[in-house]
Amino acid sequence: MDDRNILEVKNLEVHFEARSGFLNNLLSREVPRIRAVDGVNFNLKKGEILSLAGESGCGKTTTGKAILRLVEPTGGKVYFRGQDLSLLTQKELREFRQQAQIIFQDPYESLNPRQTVFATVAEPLEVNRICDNTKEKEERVARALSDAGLKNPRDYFIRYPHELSGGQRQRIAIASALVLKPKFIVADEPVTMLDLSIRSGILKLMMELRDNKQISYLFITHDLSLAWLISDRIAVMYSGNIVEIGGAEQIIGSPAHPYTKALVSVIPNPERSSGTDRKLLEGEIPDPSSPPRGCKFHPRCSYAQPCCREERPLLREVEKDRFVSCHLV
Amino acid sequence: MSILEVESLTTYYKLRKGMVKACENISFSLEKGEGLGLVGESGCGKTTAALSLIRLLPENGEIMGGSININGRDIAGYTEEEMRQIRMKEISIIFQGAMNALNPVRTVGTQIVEAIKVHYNHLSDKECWERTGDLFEKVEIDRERVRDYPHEFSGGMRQRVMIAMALSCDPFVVIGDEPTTGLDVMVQAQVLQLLEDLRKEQGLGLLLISHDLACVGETCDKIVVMYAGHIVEYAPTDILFKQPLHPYTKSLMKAIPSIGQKRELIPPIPGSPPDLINPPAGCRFFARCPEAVAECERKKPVLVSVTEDHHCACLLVDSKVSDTSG
Repeated sequence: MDDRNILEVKNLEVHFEARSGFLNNLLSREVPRIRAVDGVNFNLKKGEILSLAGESGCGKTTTGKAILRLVEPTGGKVYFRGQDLSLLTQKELREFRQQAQIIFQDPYESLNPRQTVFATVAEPLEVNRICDNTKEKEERVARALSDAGLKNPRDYFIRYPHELSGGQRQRIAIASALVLKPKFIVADEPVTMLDLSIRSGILKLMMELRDNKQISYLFITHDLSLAWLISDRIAVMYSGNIVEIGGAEQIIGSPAHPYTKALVSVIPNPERSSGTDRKLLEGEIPDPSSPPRGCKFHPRCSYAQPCCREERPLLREVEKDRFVSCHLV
Repeated sequence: MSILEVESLTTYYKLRKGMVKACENISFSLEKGEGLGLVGESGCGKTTAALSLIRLLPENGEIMGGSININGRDIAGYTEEEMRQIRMKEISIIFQGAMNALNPVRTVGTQIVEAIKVHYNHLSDKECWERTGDLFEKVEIDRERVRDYPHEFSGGMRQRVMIAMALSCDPFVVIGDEPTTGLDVMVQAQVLQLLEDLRKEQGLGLLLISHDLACVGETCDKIVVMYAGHIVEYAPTDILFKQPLHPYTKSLMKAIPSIGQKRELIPPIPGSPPDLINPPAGCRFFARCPEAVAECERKKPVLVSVTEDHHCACLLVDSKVSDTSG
């Protein structure tokens, strides 16, 4: 394993068993398998922000959760600082989870409405039995809150989520991730629910934490313009696979995969008169329990050739640090 | 003549703590086939304005004044019975969460047929279903799927069903209340394209409510920017983007990531919107405004015409205008 990487994901697979009906059980018919994540490979460098972009249902959130073992992968390996996560004992898993945290999309739902801010942020410390003494605990909670960009942190201790604005709530959620001093954070659409005017505050905070505390991020988003804005590299997912990965500027400036091209073309741009060069894709993403043969994107791809219907393309390096899975590139 | 003309619309909510002045002095007009975007952050009163138009306000909401002219008739004082006659038939609404807006235990077809029957009671069952099928084709769904249940559709398809339902009784004004929020970029682009096509082909007037300035800018002819219950700027889209005048509009524009240019994070607008139970005496944006002068705290700005169709409510702009004209 490369020393500069904090995370290596190799052939990660998460297949769910679809719920089957009573009759199917009775006749012991085969249960369809939903291939949510179907062989994902990437590395994350220390202090890097990598965006995982794609439409809903492409498997980006499941990938994030599988890395943290919040869902169990059904195949492949995840190495965190060189350690194979699938071999961890319960105790080691606890230790890993102190270093790796997740921030969820909706700060209106991810915070317990009946817990004070202090209780929410101190909970990870209690669960992991870190610092028994109250004074020290207060110190750490206060530091986490101020790290999350909240001034006068102690004023927040006895407040409840409903007294706070959306931006403040998301900062509380970030503080409760920071309190354990993590090295790696999965941020699952952390600003999607927030107004445009406060988004940049949260994004800026994340970038500062990266610079000051060397935290690495997996930033999950469906918004490519956001991915472009904050990440070093972007990985575009489609139906359980990464179809293109490379530097953020390169991916947005000169997308190579037809799917990335279409996604880039529909980023809203008010300076363009409506609909002129938008590449609207027909149809929808394939059913993950029976994906099409060959390239999974071929039914919606306007460049598709006969070979695309037969053979599944692999992720190949087309230029330095730029990987694309398309027969035609 | 405009198909929809709103004049000084004011809507308050009654709370135990006092009146929430959610929406004050809102005026705009919508022409046939035109798209008007109503933009602002959450809590700025854009949805309140929309619900006032179609008179679906929650119980504690009340229209305090102003007029709503649809085809020359003021409906602001209509009774619920009178409203029922024109809802769907003249003005209809597409709600945000298509997931929650459809009844899960009935097929989508029955729900649309029900709406059609209210307004076209001379039609037979067969004709109603026929009509529903036609509507499905119009929104690019296979007409056979009228017999499906809401859960059998994807999010984007369900939003198309909602659009079909909104169109079912041939209204000439459709309000889209964040119709694409929560949908993916690709599906969002598809749905917006569909709305734009319908607007152009059928002369539908579309009032698009959104917090996303970029996406409204791409689909609408005119834009109304709201802040804390007031209109702060109102102009044709191209003029607004070329020459935004209000400091709030300017900061919203800056917050749109401009792909292809330099990657930098614009500092957020500091502070948060004012409490609308006791709004500030002067300009409501004063506390967060980077250009504010002392006068802004006391004096309330009014919406003035800067040019013929560019309106702005800001003392700084107002004084510049009177300087040049005087």
